[in-house]
Amino acid sequence: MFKKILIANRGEIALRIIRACKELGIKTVVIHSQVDGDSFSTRNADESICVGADPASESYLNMANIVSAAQISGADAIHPGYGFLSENSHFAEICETCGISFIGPSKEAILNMGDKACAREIMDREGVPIVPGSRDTINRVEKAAKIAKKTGYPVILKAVAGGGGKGMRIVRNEEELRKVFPAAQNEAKKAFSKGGIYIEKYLENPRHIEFQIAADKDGNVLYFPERECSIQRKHQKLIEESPSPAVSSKLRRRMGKAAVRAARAIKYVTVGTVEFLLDSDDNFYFMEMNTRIQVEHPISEEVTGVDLVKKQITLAAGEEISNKRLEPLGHAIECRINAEDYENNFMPSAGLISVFNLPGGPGIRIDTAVHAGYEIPAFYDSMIAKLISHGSNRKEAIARMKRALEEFEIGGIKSTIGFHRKVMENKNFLKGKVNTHFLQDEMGYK
Amino acid sequence: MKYKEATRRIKELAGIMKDTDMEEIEYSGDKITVGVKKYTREAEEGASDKKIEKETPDKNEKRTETVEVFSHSVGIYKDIVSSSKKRQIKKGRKVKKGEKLGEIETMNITKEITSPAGGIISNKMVKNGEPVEYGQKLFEVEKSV
Repeated sequence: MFKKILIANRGEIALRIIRACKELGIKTVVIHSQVDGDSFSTRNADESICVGADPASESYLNMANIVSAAQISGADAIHPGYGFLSENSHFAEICETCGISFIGPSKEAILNMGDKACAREIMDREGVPIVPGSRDTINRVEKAAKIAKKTGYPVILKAVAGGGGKGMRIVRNEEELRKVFPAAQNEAKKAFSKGGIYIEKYLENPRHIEFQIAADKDGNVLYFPERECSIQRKHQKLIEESPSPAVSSKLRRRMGKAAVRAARAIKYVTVGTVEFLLDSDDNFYFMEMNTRIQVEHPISEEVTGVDLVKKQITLAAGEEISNKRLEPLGHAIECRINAEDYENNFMPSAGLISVFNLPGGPGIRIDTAVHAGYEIPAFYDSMIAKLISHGSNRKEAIARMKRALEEFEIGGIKSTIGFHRKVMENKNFLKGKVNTHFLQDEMGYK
Repeated sequence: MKYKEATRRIKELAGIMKDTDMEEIEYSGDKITVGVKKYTREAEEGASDKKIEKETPDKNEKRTETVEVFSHSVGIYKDIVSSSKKRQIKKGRKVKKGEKLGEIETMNITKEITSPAGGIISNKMVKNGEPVEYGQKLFEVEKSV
C-alpha cells in the first residue's frame, strides 16, 4: 500500500481524497496555487506545497512542479482527482518514468479513450454497441442514401471537420436527404474548407446513462448500478441519480456487461466510467469512457456502500476484485451546487460567501470545501458543493433532496439552489421522464 | 508549512482587531509567534510587501530598499559551489543585479536564481539541499536608493 499520496487537485475532490487517505492510514500532500494557500484542503492535508500562480495553467497543470512536489515530499503516488491532469496520458507517463504511481489507468488506456474515433473503433470491435452510421467520409448522395437506409431514419449529417452545429442536418426520410445533402456539403466546405460529411443514426431524445466500473490488474471488472445523468446544460451535468428510473434490472445487466467488455478491451485498471446513450426502445450506444473518478461518484457510493475513492487507491496498489456486480440499495440523487446565476444564463458568480448554512438530517450528504467567509476565486470552475440525498426509494430520495434544498442557505453570491428546487417540483422529473433535452424542453432554457 | 499557519493566524488576529479597539495583538503558539498592529500612516511609510524602504531622519545617511527574492519553481535549493569564499552567497555579501544567488533543481532541470537588484544580501532564508515551494522567500537584498 502507498505510504504518502500527493493530491494534484483542489476543492471538494482534494478534500474527498484526503478523507479516503486518512481512513486508509496514508499520509497526504496537497498541492495548491497561491490563491488556494489557505483552503480547507490545505488545512486538512498532512503537508501542502504551493506549485504556482493562480491560473490553472501555471499551477494545477504545471506537470514539472507537481512531479517535483511529489519527489521533494517523498510521495509514492499521485492522485489526480478529476479535471486538470486526470486524463492526461503524458502526465501518467511522466509519473511512471519518475517511479511514482499514477492513481488511474495506464497511459495507453487514457490515450485510447481520449481519441474518440479510436475509442469507437475499439468498442465496435469488442461488440460494444456504437451509434450506427458511416465510418468514412461520404461524398455522394447515393452512398448517403444507402447508409441511411441501413441505419434507419432519422439520421444526422455531420461535418467531419465539424463543430458548433455547422453542416449538421437532421433528416427524417430519403426525399429530405437528397434535398439537404448538397446544402450540408456546401455549408461544411464554407465553414471548415472541407466538404466531408458523415452520417449517424439520430437519437431523438436519448438519456445519458453511465456505468461506474472498477477493475483490477488481473482483468476482473466489477460494474455498479447505472447513473442517470440526462439533466445537463451544454454537456455539463447538473443532476444525477442512481439507479435510473428507465433501466430495468434486465437492461442493467445487459448494459453493465457491455461496460465490462469496454473496460476489458483496453485492459483498464482502477475506477472508470463508461457512458452510453439510451433510446426509448432500450437500445444503447457507447458514447465515451471517462478514465478517472467522476464528480457524481457519491451517488454510486450511497447506493452500494462502496467507498469509490478508497477502492481506486487500493486497486492502484494491486488489490483484487472479488465480486462481479452490485445491486442498488435504495436511491440516490446528486445536485451540483454551482456559484452561478441560473436566472441569467448560468453566469459565474465569483466573490465572498457571506452565508453558508448546510442542510443535514437523515440521508443527506454534502461534499464541499467552501465555508462562510470563503472567497471564490475567478480562476477555476464554479462548482462549490455537491448535495447528495439517499432514500429507500426514489420518492424518499426526492423528498429528502427537496427539504435539504430548502434548508441550504448561501449568501453573498448567486447559486443554483433555486434551479434545483424548480427541477424537484417538475412533473416530468417526478415521473422519471428525463432526457438530454430536459433543460430546453421542460425548463425553457436555451 | 509554517508560513501558511502564520498567514492564517494573522488573518484571524486582523479579524479580531477589526471588531475591537485594540491597536496591537500578538499570538504565540508552539511553533510560531505572529503579531498584528493597526494601520497608521507611519506604519505604511515603513512597510510594503516586496520593497521596503527605510528612511532615516539624517540626510547624510543612505536610504535603502529591501528587495525580496522568491522561488518560481518547486524543487531542491542548491548553493553555488565554489572553492572561493568570495563567491559564496551569504549574509552581508555584496551582489550585482543579475548575479546568480543559487539554483533550484526541478526534475533534474536546474533553474538559476538571480538577484533582481544590486546591493547587499541582508537575509538568506534557505539552506543548501532544502526543498522549496513556489513563492517561497529565499533572499532579501538591501538596495541603496
